[in-house]
Amino acid sequence: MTPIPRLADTILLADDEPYNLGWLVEFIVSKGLKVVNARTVDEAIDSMSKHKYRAVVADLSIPVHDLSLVAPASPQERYPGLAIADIARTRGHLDRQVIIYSVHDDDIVRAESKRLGCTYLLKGRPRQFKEELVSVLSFDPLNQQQKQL
Amino acid sequence: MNSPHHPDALDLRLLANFIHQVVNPLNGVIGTVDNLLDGTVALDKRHQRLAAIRAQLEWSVMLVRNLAYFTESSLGVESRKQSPAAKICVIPQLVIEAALFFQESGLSEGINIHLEDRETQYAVRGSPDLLRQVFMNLLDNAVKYSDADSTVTIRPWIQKSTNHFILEVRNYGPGFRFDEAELLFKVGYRSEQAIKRVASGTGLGLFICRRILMEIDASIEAEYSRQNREVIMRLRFPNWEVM
Repeated sequence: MTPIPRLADTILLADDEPYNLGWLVEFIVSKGLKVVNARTVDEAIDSMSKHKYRAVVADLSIPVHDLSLVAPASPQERYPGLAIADIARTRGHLDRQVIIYSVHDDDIVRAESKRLGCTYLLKGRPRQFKEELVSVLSFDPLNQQQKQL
Repeated sequence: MNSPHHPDALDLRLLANFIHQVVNPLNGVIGTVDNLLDGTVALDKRHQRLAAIRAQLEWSVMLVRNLAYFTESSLGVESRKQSPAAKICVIPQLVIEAALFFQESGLSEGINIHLEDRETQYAVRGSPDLLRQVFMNLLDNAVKYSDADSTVTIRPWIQKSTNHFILEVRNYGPGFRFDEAELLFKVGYRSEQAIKRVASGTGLGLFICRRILMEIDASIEAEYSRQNREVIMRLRFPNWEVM
């Protein structure tokens, strides 16, 4: 099986309203990285089938066209962005490389993000968001593996 | 409508959607301000970012006004109802003011807003603020749900058979099903295609457009041509004049 090519300089940003995230794109670009936007769960999963990203950042409220992509009778039905985090984790992104965010503070999401081992952030706190991203970017898993070798 | 003391599931769902809608642009404002403060934004781009902040705040205010209007009309408050002695609303002026607001977000997707016949000063009597809100809601939808690299056209004309002033907002996009044409104007309703494009929305915009227009004996209807992917929002004003 051919390994998925890794884009070490690119972050996948899954959000259906990218016009509200100009600030985040600008911040990421200022750190020397690129951003690829996916507007649906379908687009995000398709992107992850082609590339592995430095980090995956997903809004929990994002449209999904192919309903088979979300696990039935699970929190993914209400928060389709969780399906993106799930796939990101199963396709080799480390826990700290996957960030999900939402307007609402929900214990169900908190539990699910703990199960998936990803970071859960709330909208309205961009500084916390940026700090988390800086922390993620300070660690390049491929370089760490190479050092250990 | 339910008493405010007994909010039902619709009220709460609207409120949750509203919170989501208003936090998004405010989150953008805070993020951009933080970028300005910590030096992420280059000096030559500061003016542009400040303009973006202003646009996001204005959008937030537009959403809050929708909620305020919805709340007032639900409670039967008529303080803002448009009386016969209402002001003269010059339509091209209000359309241009609303269009300017969405110009930047439209251009980021290659969407142009074009007003046909800027010269004829069609006017109706009512509240300019409320009519501007109608055009902002319509253009918000048109830009948000248009195909990339397309044009939103606003076309004013007089229907000879009725002598009504007609204003059409036309855009190209995924549209809606035939049986949704009336449902679009119900509180909280969002078309299947709209939900596929943007997960969250208040479903208040078109409801409010119809309510505001009804107050001046005007009306609005929706039409979609699947063949050429054209959405038409048609406003009809029986009472009008030219300034």
